[in-house]
Amino acid sequence: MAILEYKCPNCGAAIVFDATTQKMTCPHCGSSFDVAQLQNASEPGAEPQTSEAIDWGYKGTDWAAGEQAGMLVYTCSSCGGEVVADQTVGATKCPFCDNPLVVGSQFSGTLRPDVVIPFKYDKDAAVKALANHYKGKRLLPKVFADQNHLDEVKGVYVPFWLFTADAHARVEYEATRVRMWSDSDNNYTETQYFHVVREGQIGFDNIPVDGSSQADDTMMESLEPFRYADAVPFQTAYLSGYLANKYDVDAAASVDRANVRIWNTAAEAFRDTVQGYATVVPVHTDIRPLSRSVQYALLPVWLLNTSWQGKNYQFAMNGQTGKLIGDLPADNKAMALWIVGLFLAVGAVLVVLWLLISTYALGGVG
Amino acid sequence: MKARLLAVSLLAIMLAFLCPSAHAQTQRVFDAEGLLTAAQQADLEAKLDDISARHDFDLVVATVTSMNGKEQRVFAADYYEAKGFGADGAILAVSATTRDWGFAATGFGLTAFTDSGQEVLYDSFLSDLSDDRFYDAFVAFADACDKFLTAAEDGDPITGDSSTSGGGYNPGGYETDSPYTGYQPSYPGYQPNYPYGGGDSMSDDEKATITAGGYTVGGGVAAVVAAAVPLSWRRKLRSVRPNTTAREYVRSGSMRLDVQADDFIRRSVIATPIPKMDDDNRHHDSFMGGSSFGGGGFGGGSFSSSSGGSFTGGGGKF
Repeated sequence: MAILEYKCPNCGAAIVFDATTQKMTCPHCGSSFDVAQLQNASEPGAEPQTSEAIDWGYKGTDWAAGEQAGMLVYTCSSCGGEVVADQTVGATKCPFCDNPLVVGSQFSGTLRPDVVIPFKYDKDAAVKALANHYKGKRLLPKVFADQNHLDEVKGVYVPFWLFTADAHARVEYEATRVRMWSDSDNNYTETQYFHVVREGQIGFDNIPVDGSSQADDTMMESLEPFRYADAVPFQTAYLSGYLANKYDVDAAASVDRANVRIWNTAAEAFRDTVQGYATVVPVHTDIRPLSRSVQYALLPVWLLNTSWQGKNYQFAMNGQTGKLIGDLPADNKAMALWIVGLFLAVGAVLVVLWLLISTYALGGVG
Repeated sequence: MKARLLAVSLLAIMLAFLCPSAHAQTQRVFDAEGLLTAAQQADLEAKLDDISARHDFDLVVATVTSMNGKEQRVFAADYYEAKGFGADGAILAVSATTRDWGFAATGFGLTAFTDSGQEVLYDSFLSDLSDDRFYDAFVAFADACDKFLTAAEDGDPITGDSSTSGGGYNPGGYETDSPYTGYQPSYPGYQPNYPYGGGDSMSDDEKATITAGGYTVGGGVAAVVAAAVPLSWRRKLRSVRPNTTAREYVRSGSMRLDVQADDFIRRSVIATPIPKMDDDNRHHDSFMGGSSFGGGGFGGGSFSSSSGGSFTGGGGKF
């Protein structure tokens, strides 16, 4: 079976993509090469082919002949996730659920990614970011950082659909202005009612929705934003040294999430144009996408699986921006002590303050 | 961040209690009607300045051609606020044209000028006012305020019935035709009759109510702080949140408004009658009716200025 492996032109050893230098680097002789330069030298020159159409007008591109050669697919025995990796990775555990991966088979099928954002942060940076994530958290159990066992740190290219759309919006509001005044007999409140209409367009670029059922959607949204200025046309060389998750949720199935976000944001943006009123209530909202397109992208994510007291904790770091997220356990006992302590402390200060006020300002109340 | 905001707020509240009221103005006599000579105005100004400085309390006198149809004490309070005086102060506003007078006090004035004490205060200047001896009336007003403030600072605000309170206050020979005997212009001093050295204008029940209220509010504040701060720390442990908007992905300059209409549909006006302070008026009217000055009077109770400030005071015709 052919293995996707880039050989160092100098020493012949297997070379990997280095996130720090953004180059292919040889761990043996230290040589480094541009990805494009190496890709041209080692890949067949076939042009991508158009596959059958998918929903939302996305055509997608097929893999070039031989491009998938050497890429192995590992299947998770627990969550069923499929991970693509080359031989250099030696994947043994699922990056999403930390269960063993079944030995891979030849990768085939699915569409070829359009773009990829290469990793800018390496594994050490991810481990360091996790350590920083523990800092400044008063209610994190003190032993968590010490006893928490870092089981697995994997760099994963997570499949995302990037939706670009223009939306047409027409929103009607009932708005009010309130004026109050008084004379010697009455207080008056005047309410003026207005019918407000806002209609127009708003455009969105590259709203990401992850195409992996294994990747936690909320977690992936928490990692945003990604900066697409760094996105480059996909080349398999970028996968070297990392895992790549195969998409198993297609663009058509992902578009609903993008539509929700488009709807919410357009509604907010148009609402912001209605100013000068005491109340503004939308009574009719019609927001619909017009022109739209979708891209298939691989975005860099470090997944860090840890365990503590028999429970797994997963953290994720945006491999491009370094933003690390992940929920931490709370020390409920410490929280209860803080509540009681703060109540007593603040109460004591207020009692002293009250006694001072009552003595000197109110003439000795109580 | 929230904890810091909370701390700053508490600090601001504490400072608000501790800071003395500022004297935002130096002019304290506003003689729009020209009732005072220049010399009288200067003398009165000096007197008010002296009293204001000693008591850290803005004392103001104003003459106006009209009170704009407002209740006299409300007009006086609004005038005081409009001139930008401090949180603690009092004003006597007089219109010789309409024969109206209004008194309003705020801040420490709420303590110094008790409801029954105000009757004493008014009696000190109303006879001069009714005889058009305006300068004398204003001087009498200033002197009386000086004594009221001194008494209140000593913990024993002057009340109309001080002579019967048994608090050691000796009203002495105050001799006028007025129907009360509780006020002595030369304040003779005070012997404290309870541990905090305060006055006897507040009953034990009132003190107990205020104390209970203070502890309830304090307990509530302590509970809110004690719960809010750890909860904000707990929220810090959560960093996985759904992103339901796409603000970061709005194409720059892509938003375009084709229709922008704001059409007026209708209006409604609700009139709410302002409650009249009938009880207070009856009380004061009774006093005023028994005096030699005649005319209706207002006051003896707390009220709000047009902007919502808390005042006490009264007013009427002279």
